[in-house]
Amino acid sequence: MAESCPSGRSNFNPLSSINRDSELPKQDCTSPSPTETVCLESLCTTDNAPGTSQNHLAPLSEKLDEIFRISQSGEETEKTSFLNKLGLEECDEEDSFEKEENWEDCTEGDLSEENQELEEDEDSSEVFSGSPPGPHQTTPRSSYAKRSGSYATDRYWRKRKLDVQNGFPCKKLLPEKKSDVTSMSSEPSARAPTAPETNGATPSDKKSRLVIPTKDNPPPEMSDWLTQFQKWSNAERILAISELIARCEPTQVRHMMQVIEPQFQRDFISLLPRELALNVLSFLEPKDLLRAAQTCRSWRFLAEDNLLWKEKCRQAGIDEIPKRRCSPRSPGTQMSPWKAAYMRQHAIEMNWRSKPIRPPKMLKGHDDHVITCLQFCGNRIVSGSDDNTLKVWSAITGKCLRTLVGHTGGVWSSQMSGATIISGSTDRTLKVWDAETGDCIHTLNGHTSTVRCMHLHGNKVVSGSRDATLRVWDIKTGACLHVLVGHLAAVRCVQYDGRLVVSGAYDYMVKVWNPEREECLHTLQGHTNRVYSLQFDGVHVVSGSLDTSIRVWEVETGACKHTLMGHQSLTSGMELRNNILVSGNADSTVKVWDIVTGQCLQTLSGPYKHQSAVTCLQFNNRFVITSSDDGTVKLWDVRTGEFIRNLVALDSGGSGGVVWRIRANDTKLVCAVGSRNGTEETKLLVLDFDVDSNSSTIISS
Amino acid sequence: MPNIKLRSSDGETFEVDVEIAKCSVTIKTMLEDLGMDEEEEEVVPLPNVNSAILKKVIQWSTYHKDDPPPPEDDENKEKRTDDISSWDADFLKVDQGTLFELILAANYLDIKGLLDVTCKTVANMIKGKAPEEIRKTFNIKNDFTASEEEQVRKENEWCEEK
Repeated sequence: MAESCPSGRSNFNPLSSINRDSELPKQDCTSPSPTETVCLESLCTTDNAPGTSQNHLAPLSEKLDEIFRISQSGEETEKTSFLNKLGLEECDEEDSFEKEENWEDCTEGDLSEENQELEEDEDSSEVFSGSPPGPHQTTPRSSYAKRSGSYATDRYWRKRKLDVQNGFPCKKLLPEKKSDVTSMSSEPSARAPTAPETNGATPSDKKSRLVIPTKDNPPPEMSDWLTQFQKWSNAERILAISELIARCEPTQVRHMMQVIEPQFQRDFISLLPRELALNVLSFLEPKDLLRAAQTCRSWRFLAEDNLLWKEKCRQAGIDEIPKRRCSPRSPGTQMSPWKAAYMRQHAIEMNWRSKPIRPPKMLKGHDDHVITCLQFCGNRIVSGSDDNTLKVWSAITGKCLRTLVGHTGGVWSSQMSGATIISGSTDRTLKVWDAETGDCIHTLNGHTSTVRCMHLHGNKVVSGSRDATLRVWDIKTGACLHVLVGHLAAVRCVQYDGRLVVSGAYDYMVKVWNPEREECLHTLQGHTNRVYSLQFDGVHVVSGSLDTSIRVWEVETGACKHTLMGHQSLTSGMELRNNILVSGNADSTVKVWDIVTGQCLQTLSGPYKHQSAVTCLQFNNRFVITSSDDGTVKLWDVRTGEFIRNLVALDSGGSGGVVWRIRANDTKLVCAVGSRNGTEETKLLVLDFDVDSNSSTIISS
Repeated sequence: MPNIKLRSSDGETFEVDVEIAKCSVTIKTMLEDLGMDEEEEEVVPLPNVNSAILKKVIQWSTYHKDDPPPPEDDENKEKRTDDISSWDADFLKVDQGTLFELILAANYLDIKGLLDVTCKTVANMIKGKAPEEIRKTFNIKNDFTASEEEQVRKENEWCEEK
């Protein structure tokens, strides 16, 4: 009940009172301050003095009737006062204080002294034994308060004024009016303890009651009522309370609720043992954790727990803390490293999803030729073109670092590992390059027609050719290790996992090879047209064909597990991860499949679908990125299949501008764009979605 | 089924089916380690659980006695809070003080299912709320200074999609 002493009105936050006022129109003076409330429960369980529980039932009904009568007569405030005394509420001094216009200053010393007395006297029934104030005490407040200057009387006036306000909706009343009002409402008005001459009490009584021991000034009958209440047993009190509540208006019951509710609230996170609090927090989404951290210090401390965030990172697929070049944080505000990793990841995701896209870097080259293949690893980009060259670019500066010259025909396939680049050409050779120097290290001769596809694993690369064979090469020595013969037409796609080679060809066949023994283990028959694309995860072979179907095969047995139907044209590109397959089709749609069940999970189409054949795609656990002959690169949500936005939309889209190839990592997207008709110059676009470069651009700009 | 007696902190004794009591790993271990003979009229003292809460715990354990044992390692399970059964939801329609004590009791008695569902219930009370609403829900005092609050707000800003 102790409140800080207001040395002036400016001590109070006007907002708090405004809010409360607006929340509780016409309600009693108070919204209970939780720390000040007296628990109803505690009142109930307080033991009576022995032998006092006799003959109480009659007084109970009497008192209840009395309350009832008071409430009938419209004396809301009186009733509330009863409740107050019951411990159901206490007057919030601040609120009532707010309503005073010319409040008398009272010093802190005054107040604390008073409070002490108040506390001492609180439970003493003597406090209430003084005679009731006279019914017609009408001393004007202002003059009175000035005269007395005592805190008790201040309190009195605050309460009085409030009562008046509660009785009548008008905001402020002049002191003169108040007396009228109080007498009109037949309230036992103005129980001014310091005005003995009007209320008939003896002066000594008055003196002892100079200090009113509670936050309000109760009607005189209330003390008896409460004394009686305290004499009752627990069961009787509960009955009394039930009866009391039954006689309450809904607003009064609601008031009780507001007073009682905080008694049953628990600050779980601060009060539970640490590991239990963390267990609760572990069920929260990151977004809720961030909000929880903003409630108070102890919540913030726990919501910052590193292991908690490590778990959030694991759920989000973040399995390492990115090494930061420099810490932008000021010392003393150590954020959990895992939380920082999560926040960074989230910010990057938002950059992909919705933040304004920064203008891409334009890497111009290959004149008006087609970029046929694209590699992106670390900060290095390699583009291969039908202009017979490859170019090595820096993804950071956008500069062309090297041009790899030597092929005598167009480059149609490439692979890259570290600083080693391998290319395949219509000149029937493969070349091994050093990306740093731009030197051609080996030229691999053997194929008798165009080298159309290749797959690198370790130091071995497997190439597929229009000559219908596959060759296995050692890129260190440049030696041809094996030749795989068996297809009847051009080999169009190949996958190699270091153990098995899988190839797809224009003879409609998919073959599984043991390269060491140069043996075809399985011929996977079923497609009724050319096979253009393959994925192989060591267990499943997935093949895409011009016959519009995609087939899922078991590599060990060669059995066809599923035929994925739904596309209407050639499946040109596919990616397989964790049994999820994403396929891009010339029918301009993209589909997401579960290859275990054979179900199509999503079709990326709808009003924002590509307007032309899908040329390339890539996906991770959040997004699918697709490119198309329509000149756009689109971002989709892999889980919902929803279109998110265009990452690229060429002005020349629809009139010749196309996106041939895309490659992306977590923060960058590289697109090979151009046209066949000169409407769009051949180039690479590099888009950056990183957060760090984000801030660096802000700094540099 | 043999019964066992459990004594709460306030001295009340509850007679419970042994199998139900063994929902609590603490009691189960106690019986095994101490070799408590089920024939004997032994009373298991539970000095950290009062009778009101013990009554609730027994009620929960009785309803859930046939549940499959919780998976040993659910480390990698996704933490969901929308999978509380309607019976549990009803059972946990209690005031915060009771819920608080139930969590402590479930932890002390080592009843994983009850601990999970009670913690989830509290998590659900936090979910989707603004900091001020959270404070209001749990009667928390904002003890940040103005500058701290500003910093905390910045640090915990969540980029939303437009």
